[in-house]
Amino acid sequence: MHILVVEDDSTMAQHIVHGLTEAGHDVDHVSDGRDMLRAAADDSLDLLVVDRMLPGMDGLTAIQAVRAAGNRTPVLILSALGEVDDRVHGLKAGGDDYLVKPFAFAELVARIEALARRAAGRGAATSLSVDGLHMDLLGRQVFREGVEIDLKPREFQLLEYLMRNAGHVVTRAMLLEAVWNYHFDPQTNVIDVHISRLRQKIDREFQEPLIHTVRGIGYVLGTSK
Amino acid sequence: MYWEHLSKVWRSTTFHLGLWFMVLFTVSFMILGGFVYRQTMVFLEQELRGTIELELNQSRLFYLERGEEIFLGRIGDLGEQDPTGIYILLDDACQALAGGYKRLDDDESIQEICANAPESDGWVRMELDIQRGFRDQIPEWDDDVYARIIPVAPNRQLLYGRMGGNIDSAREVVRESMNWGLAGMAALALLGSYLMAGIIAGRLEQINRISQQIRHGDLSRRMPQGRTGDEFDRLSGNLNRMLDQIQSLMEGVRSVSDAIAHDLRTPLARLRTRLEQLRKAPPDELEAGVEQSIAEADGMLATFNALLSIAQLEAGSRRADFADVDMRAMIADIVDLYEPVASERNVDLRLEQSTAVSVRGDRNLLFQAICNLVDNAVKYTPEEGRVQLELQRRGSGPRLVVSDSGPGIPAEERSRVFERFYRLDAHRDSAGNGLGLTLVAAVAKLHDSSVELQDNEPGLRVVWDLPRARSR
Repeated sequence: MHILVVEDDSTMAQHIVHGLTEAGHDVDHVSDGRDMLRAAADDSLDLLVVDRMLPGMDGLTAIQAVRAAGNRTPVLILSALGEVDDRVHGLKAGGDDYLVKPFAFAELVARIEALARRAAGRGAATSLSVDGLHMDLLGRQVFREGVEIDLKPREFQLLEYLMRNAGHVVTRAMLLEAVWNYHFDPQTNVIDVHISRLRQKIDREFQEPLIHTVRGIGYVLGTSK
Repeated sequence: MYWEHLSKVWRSTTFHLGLWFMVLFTVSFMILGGFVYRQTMVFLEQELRGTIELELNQSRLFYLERGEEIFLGRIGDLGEQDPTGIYILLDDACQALAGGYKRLDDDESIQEICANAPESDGWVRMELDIQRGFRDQIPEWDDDVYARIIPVAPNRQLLYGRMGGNIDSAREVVRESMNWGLAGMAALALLGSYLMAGIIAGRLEQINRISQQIRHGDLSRRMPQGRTGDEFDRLSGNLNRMLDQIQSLMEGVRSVSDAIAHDLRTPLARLRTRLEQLRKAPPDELEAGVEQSIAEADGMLATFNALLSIAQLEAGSRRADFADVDMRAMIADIVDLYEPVASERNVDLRLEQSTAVSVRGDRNLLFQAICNLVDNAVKYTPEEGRVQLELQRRGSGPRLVVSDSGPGIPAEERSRVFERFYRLDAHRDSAGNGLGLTLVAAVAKLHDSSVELQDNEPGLRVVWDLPRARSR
């Protein structure tokens, strides 16, 4: 993926650029809003990671300008510590997701990848299939290797999100946001217990487990990690 | 020192106000005094004229009854008895026939006076030349004489006049008292403004002085506050409350930094030790060790994030995101979210009572805060226990009750559990960072509400009176 990182703090920028490059992405970096406007005109960009506070031109203003120019490239906003309240403003300004510093790098990677997938698969699918697991979105039915699995509505939503992001790590905060629609990082094991219930139904009867725990980060769905 | 005080008073707003009031009062006093003066004069003059008319009527009757001769004798007697009165008998041509016309002042002639009289209905004014012998008896011997001329018989007119001594002395008295009154009032107003300015300047000066001391670092100082509850007491009260808040915030900052230093030193030390050991660890243990270290660091980051969120909540800057929140739906979501955890622990998590209520607030924060309450309740309730949620609609607004059958919190520790990093000794080893209830309190405070901990006998009962939604 071709990612543009807009971050004025050089240590932070280096950290992000290094990490994303290591994760296999092609990363460009600029350090203020004006440069961002110029760089964002590049059609080959898949995603922007923009710091909320930038010198010269504020990050949100820059995003608004990019959007006003008809650019639909997904944007992930980074905000300084404790500026949680900016989330709504950030999303209103045209951001697609929001992450508060400091973050676990895995959370950033997971969200970037989920954003890219969301942008790619904007069509309305009626069914999802991952490694022998089949989900009928219209009939609200789930089959694994032909056997129907009975899921409660929440479990269905959880599995749907995992399947839509199959092969990629999703964090607990992402799951809480996607399924319950509340935005915060649950520090407790509530989500884990929901996943373990889902796992009981999806994996117990079968040889190959589909739901894997990624320690310290979240979960991934798929036969191979 | 004295001059300094004087110049301070002179410059004070209150003193200037006092002076303006003095001018205002002087003008109004003069208007009032003028009115009283005029009315008094009119009244006295009317009284005098009444007396004159009465005397003239009686004299006319006497003249008609007794004839001219006896009458002339009588006015001669009366003129001698009463040096302030004067009788003159005139014919139609205004020739004086008898009476005290010789006492008239040299400048005036009775003919002239008499000739002009009909123009003013017979009323005239003149001056008398009082004989020396009388002067001692009449204090106002140079006063005007008020007189009237009326016809008493064919070719006969009678003039009777009296000295307006009362009127003139009243005039003097009123003038004098007005002058004294004015002087006294001005003096009093000046003194009053001076004292008032002194008092007010003094009280403000006190506040200024104490503010200065506080600014120089003595945060324990407070403004003096009387019992009268006047505006200065209220000002002092407000300033004191502000100072209390500043002080408690500063103490809060201090205790937070102490707590952070204390509570984060342990995991940091642990992390350091682990890294130290990893240096010498065999390669196969390396990955697990790094994983653990990252988890440890993540835990600390999470704690920092929680601290920062709490600090931001306490600063109260998030209110812009407030909207009406459907509490019933949110409570249902929370029960749904925690049901698996509870049933895993064999705890009966139940939504006991729920009414459709809306709350004005921040959806995510309220959710997070209530999650913390439920999380604690589920975590500390032993197996086979119960956790109950209730959402009630009360007159004062919605009320949320989270009660459990766990060990509860001893009464003396109930207020302390809201402090940062405060943990009951019994739970020191269980998971958690000691910030959960602090966040709850901060969220409650942001929503202008408060959370109360009660005894559920057995267990803990958390009562939260939430702010009512705007639209209902």
